[in-house]
Amino acid sequence: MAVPSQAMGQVGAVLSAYTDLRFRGLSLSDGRPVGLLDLSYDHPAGFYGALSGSIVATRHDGLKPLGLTLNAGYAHRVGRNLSLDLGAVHSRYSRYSGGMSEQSYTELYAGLSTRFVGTRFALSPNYLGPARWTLHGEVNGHLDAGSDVSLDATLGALLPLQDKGYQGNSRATWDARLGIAKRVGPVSIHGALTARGHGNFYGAYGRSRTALILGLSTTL
Amino acid sequence: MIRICRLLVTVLASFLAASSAPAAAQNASGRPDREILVMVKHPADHYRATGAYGGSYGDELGRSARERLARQIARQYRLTLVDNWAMPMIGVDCFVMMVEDARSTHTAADEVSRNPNVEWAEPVQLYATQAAPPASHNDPLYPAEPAASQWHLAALHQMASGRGTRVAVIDSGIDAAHPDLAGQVMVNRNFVAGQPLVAEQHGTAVAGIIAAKADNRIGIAGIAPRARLLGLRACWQGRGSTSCDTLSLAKALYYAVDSRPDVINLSLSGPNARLLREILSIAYARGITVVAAFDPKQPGGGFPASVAGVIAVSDAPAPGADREVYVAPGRDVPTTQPGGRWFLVNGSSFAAAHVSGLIALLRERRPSAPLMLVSQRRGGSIDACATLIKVAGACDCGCRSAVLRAGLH
Repeated sequence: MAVPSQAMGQVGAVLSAYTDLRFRGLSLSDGRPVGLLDLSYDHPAGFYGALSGSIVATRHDGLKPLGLTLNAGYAHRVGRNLSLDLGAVHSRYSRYSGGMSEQSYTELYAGLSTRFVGTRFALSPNYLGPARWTLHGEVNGHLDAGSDVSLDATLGALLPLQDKGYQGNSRATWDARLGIAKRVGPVSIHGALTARGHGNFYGAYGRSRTALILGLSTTL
Repeated sequence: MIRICRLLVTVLASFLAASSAPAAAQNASGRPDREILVMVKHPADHYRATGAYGGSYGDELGRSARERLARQIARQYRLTLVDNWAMPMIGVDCFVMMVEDARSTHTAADEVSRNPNVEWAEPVQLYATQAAPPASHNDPLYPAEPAASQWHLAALHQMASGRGTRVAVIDSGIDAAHPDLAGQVMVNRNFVAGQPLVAEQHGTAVAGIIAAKADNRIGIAGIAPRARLLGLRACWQGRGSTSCDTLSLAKALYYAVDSRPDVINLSLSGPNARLLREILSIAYARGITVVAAFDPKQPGGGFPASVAGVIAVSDAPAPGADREVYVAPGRDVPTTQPGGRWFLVNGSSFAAAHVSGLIALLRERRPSAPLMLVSQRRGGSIDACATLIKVAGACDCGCRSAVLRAGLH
């Protein structure tokens, strides 16, 4: 029997569909349903990477590519239940995202997480298009409620770091999410309520500020 | 973008082809004697920039990865994946795999343990509660409780009754509707796969000794009648015996430790198991007192009584034991029986239940102080009055004279 001499990485894959693609309370699918494929890799030494691709069911043009997200980082356990996390994300979204043209952003982040609560700060030089620096901070909570039900919550704040904001707006704005997921056999059913604060920070991304999102996912 | 879509479709097709088994667990095989437990390590928690919400610390992708790895391991070692149980508190997912061929479960576990992707593997083992068969005559008399005379139970209750404490009873099913237990069982959960939660003798008897209601004009008085119980069914009643296995015990113990009770009562013993030991170490680190029945026929008194930090209790002196073994009442003890009845029980299981109740009394008075049980030098019999007075201070009760007579205070 061939036994590997050293530990392999862990490769995960999840296929999912949602009624909307919301990023920090903002619709990136123009309020339209999306399909996603998420792939992940965790190296035993703590390095990790992920790739997420999405398509959107547009109103007039059928299924179209929506976005691609690349993520890489390093996580280190600093206590039995405490992890330190450093990484970067780069995302690109097509014109079907509801913006006027293709959009992209890059973020560098650092986070601390325990089993139930995590906090993360992300610094971006070009948040959703304009060449300006922003800082986003968030607190996440996650609870396994038993019977294959899990609850999660996020509260975040986005702070422009330069005065010349998009359309002259330099106010901070908040975002929040409450989510629930239930595993039923190989499928997980998701529901989430998302919201974001006032302000035209997001310019052309003008969908409603609160949304109920429903979805299904399965591991592959 | 179209090229990216094509790439994603190609990757998706290859993943679907590789996923020959459903990711979710199937039912337990019902043959624990042919099962092994395979622990796959959790990576450190980290953010994942994936999913419909712009990323999260949720672990669906991680779970997918560990399930994929477990399927590979099962194929590689000719095992059948039958169940899994995430245990993030100890940093692993526990996968249950069945050995279908002629190999022993120990051999299969040793083979799998050598795989560097596996934290460790061990066979599912069986544990037995430590109860002698019930006597044929079981007249339910409150004054017949040994603790009433040996431990001066009524005097103890003048100092403490267990108010505000929680005792996790990992055992067979508890009859939570028993009139002496109604309202005492705050959680009643089943961790035995493939069986419904039912009321059973051993669990109901242990629960009654610990926390049966006092002064309700029926049945018995528990050692800590105002404590509340977490009934965690990890054992099942068979013909003449009650059994548990590593997985059911691990699930119940994990739940118990996560619930942070004051005491965990394990009126059972069996072979050593690393998974259970790992969870017990968390209990110890969290200051949860674990009480276990001592079995003189097993090395070290059996597991978990042999684990450092666990309070080992017997119903009779254990002169040859290589560790401290406390002796508590465990013979001809009247207690609750399923169906609203009472009966007499014997064995170290019930001695352990007495000590769990006593610790609930101590925790009421001193929630976080180090525990010290006062016992006689010869034989190890616990002096409950002296133990409680050391924590609660002097009392104007029957305990004071009893302690003075014994010369222990």
